[in-house]
Amino acid sequence: MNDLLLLYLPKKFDGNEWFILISSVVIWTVIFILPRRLSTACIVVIWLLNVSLAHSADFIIGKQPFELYAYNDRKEMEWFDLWLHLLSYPPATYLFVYGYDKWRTWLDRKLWRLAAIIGVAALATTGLEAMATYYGVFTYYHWNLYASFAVYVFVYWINLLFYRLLRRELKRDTLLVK
Amino acid sequence: MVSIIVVGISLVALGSVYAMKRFASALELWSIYFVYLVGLQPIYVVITMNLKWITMVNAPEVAIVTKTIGLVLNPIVYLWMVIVLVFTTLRLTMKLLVFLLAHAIFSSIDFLLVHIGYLEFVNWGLWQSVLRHLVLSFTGILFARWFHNRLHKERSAPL
Repeated sequence: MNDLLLLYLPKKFDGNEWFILISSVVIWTVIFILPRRLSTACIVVIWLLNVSLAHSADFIIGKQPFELYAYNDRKEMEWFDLWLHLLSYPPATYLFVYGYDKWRTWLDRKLWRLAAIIGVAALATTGLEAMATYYGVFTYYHWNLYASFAVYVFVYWINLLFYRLLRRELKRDTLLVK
Repeated sequence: MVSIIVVGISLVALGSVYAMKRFASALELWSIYFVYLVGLQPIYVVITMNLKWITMVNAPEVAIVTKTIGLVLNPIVYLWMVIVLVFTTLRLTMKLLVFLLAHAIFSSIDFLLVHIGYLEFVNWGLWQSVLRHLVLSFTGILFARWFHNRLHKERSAPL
């Protein structure tokens, strides 16, 4: 019973941990450099939505008995799993919502533009996941990047729906913070 | 068989969400639901996989049942509890009754899963179960109050 821990440290501090750390630093730097645009309620909803999606997907299909893929070093939950869910996944969708809010009038004019921006964002995130897989963040058992791409299209689409719900609830045309 | 019953009850519970829209906005409901997903799942994984205080039978049927409870049934009971406690003007005794009822449901679900052999309590019991749900309840209640006020503030801010 002595070696049971609340959260585990990585077995070895190597490629996957460095990838999570460096990618998080880069994406958070971008977020802090950009001028604040979205309201607190919007940021909270986007963060909660994406952490929930990440947790749900990874805990349903990433853990036993389905175990389509594994992430990081252990089957148990470790500090870097928490970091991945709380700090690495949500910023990408935050940037997507940020960009959509900024160029919304142009994007909303044609449906193909909207589809294209979701496709491009999903493709970019899939590319990032390919890099993450190379560095050992993910290990695929019955999974591939095509499936990830489909999941990311769904994730960005859901984020778009929530952005629109936020706009409706806040009775605003844009979520720009003055 | 158990999974069919659990999925059925969860679908009925899901249907009841429509009635919640009388008391809170869709955005508030979704946000509170997400708070429970974010809270429930990691705590469950830490308890079962890291600390091994509860062990779970490794079978697809058990996974379907526990995931359905974790993703749908428990969060909806939490949602109803938060709606009644935060968004209604019922008397305090009624609110207390709802709070106790919700916690009786949470503990009953935990113990039912042990009774049918899907879970085994190794280093876990009634009080730990109650404590876990109490912490999550208060987190949700505090969040619901804060988020409701925040939305109101942002709605009334000048455009």
